[in-house]
Amino acid sequence: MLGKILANSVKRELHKLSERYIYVFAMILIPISVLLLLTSLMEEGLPLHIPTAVVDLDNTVETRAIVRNLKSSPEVEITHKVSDYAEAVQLMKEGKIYGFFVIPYDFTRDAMSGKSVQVSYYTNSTFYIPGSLLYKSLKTTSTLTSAAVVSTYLINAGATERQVQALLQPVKLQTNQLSNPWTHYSVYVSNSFVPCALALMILLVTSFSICSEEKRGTSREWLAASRGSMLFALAGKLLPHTVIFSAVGLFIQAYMFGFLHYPLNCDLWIMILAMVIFVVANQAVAVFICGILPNLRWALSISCLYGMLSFSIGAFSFPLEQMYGGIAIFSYVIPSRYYFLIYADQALNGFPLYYSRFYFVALLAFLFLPFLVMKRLKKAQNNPVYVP
Amino acid sequence: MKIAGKFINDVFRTVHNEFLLAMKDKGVMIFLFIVPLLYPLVYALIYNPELDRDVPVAVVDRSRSTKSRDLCRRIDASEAAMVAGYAADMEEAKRFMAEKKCYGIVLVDKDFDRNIGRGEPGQVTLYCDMSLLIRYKSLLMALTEATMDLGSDIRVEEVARLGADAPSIPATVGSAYFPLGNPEQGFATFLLPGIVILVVQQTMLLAICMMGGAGYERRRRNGGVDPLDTVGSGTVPRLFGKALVYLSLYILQLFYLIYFVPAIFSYPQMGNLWEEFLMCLPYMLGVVFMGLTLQLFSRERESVFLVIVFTSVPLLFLSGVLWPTFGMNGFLRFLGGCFPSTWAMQAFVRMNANGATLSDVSHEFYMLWLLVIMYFFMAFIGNKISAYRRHVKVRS
Repeated sequence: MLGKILANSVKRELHKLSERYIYVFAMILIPISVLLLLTSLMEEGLPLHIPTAVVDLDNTVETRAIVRNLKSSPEVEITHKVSDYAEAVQLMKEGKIYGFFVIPYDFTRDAMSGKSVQVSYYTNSTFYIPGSLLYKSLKTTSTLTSAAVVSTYLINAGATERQVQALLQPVKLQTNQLSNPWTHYSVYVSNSFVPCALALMILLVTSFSICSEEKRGTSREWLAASRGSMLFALAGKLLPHTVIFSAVGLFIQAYMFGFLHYPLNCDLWIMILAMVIFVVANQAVAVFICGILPNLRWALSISCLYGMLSFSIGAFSFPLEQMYGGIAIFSYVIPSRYYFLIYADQALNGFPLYYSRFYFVALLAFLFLPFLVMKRLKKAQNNPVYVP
Repeated sequence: MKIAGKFINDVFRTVHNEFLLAMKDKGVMIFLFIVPLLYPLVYALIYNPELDRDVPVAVVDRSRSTKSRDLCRRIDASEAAMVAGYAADMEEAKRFMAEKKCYGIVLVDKDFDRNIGRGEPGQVTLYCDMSLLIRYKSLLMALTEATMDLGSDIRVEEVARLGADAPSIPATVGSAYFPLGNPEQGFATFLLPGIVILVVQQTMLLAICMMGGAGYERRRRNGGVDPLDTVGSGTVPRLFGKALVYLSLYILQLFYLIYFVPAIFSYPQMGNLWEEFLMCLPYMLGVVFMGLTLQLFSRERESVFLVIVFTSVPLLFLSGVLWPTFGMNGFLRFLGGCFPSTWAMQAFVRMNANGATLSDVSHEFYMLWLLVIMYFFMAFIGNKISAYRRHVKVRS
């Protein structure tokens, strides 16, 4: 009996979904195009060959060796050799280079005579990623330059090779980037941004689908299809969405973990489970929004606000502990945040499942939200009002 | 003369009509006024702390010597990192990490002190969580500074120990680093100038497409005729009139976005305000005509949410402000180039942060005008086609 009611409701929704192209766009094409776009945009992992200029004011054999050193690092591509600082700054303003390296006049002579000399490097840090990368690379070169000059000087002055070694680098630092040794940007960005984009589409489609019933005056018929039960009406409406969105979500995972071989250091089933719960949690949030504001425009506006701010408050790029407390607190009510934490713990770092238990509980807790507004939603469906 | 008169008359009629329609529509007003006013503020507040300070690390000190403790003190004292605790071994440190008590592990080698005493390099290893790259950046910076500082102190000791036999150490080659355009290397300073420009395009497109959807709904209800539309005006004056309405409705918000938001949060403002305004003119025109093209596909007021909102994320990436354009393949660069926001963001960011003049961003400026022309023709042709279709439909 109950099964029949549900089937009836599901059938009605399938009919609705197939009536309009926009659902195909919003549910399938948009999330997948975001996936393909982001992963292909950053397929190289790091933006290598950053256009850089050199201002070599000394131009001796030694300084040319430094320039060759610069060229040899994979991040740097010397595109311009200019004769003064102003010219380099001009190139930067025109967007042709992202940084430059300056070797001062009489560099070689002063260095060899033991005077204090200085090289300087500039990056256009308003472009964050190439700026930071270039900084790292230019810093390495300047350190190496310093080492080369000093050791030449010391050996000339009669020091032994061993003494020179110890004097140059008394403390050696080695860095191990756990699970992402390539510092691959797409691994870092796509794993959080693509599911968050999926969440945005789930919120919008769910709100659109529920509140459209009110707009088009079909909400009573919708309730009637499940014999007046709001719960069954919602279940019937959202079940087909759940299936489609989960399939898209799993495709995203399959593409990233399977096809692109992004790190997956846990059991695959954990991530699959997380994705399905994540989809349902987002649907529950959208139902809650529709229940509070049973008006198509408002429900969509709030879903849109919520979905877009998730990208920032979810703290996928800027850490939560640095944000102001009044803002950071909102991260607790964002499903994407929990999915991201599960991903980081499980797929990326491969920690035991025990440490992620609360994130799963939190995602599941979202499922209670619709029950809080069930009555209000039913009332709105019985008396549909459309305010444009 | 008569033609010119009708043209001007048509423009004014469209302006009058479109202006009233927009002002009466609450949804459109939200997009045109509330969103551009509040969104940048919210974003700026989220990222306002700018830097990732005091990232917690756990220390596994196998050396337990004066030198290793000195190193830990230096790490703790740095701006970017702090020592959250000491672990007995790597297993315990890993547990700290799983419990989110730290995001990095510093392992000091057992022979750290002895090696340094012997005149060999002492080994320090950093294991870093990679879920957020900004944390990795902070930790790397803190550790590099701490080891280098300790290194130079050791060097002084070493020289003193070698005594009179030691060669006089030359002043080593110094290096100076100048991050231009974003001296603090802050997150908000880099992200927000791009966002404020993107907001212009996204809100305008949403508003214009919502107007289009509303018009379509009116036509559907009234047998293919929009009762609130102007009658008998030509396509070109209609497009000009509409563009005029949206430009004038948005002028204050633009001023707020490109001048006040950076001023409130004291981001670099190196550019000339009027040149920035001038750069935004083709940008806004391009966006309006793009909107007037996309408007034709809009069948419902609210469906714009479903197809336009999400584009903000891909467009932010395609703009080249996050990920540099030289690292993209040809197709993606072309795709990004089709949107006015890409060129305007590039131009504005360089003007605002690097003090580029309008002539320095001339390439972007020309591309923006090219897009204006392109989208104008697309809007023109699209409007002609849909008007013809409507005509056929109404007659039959």
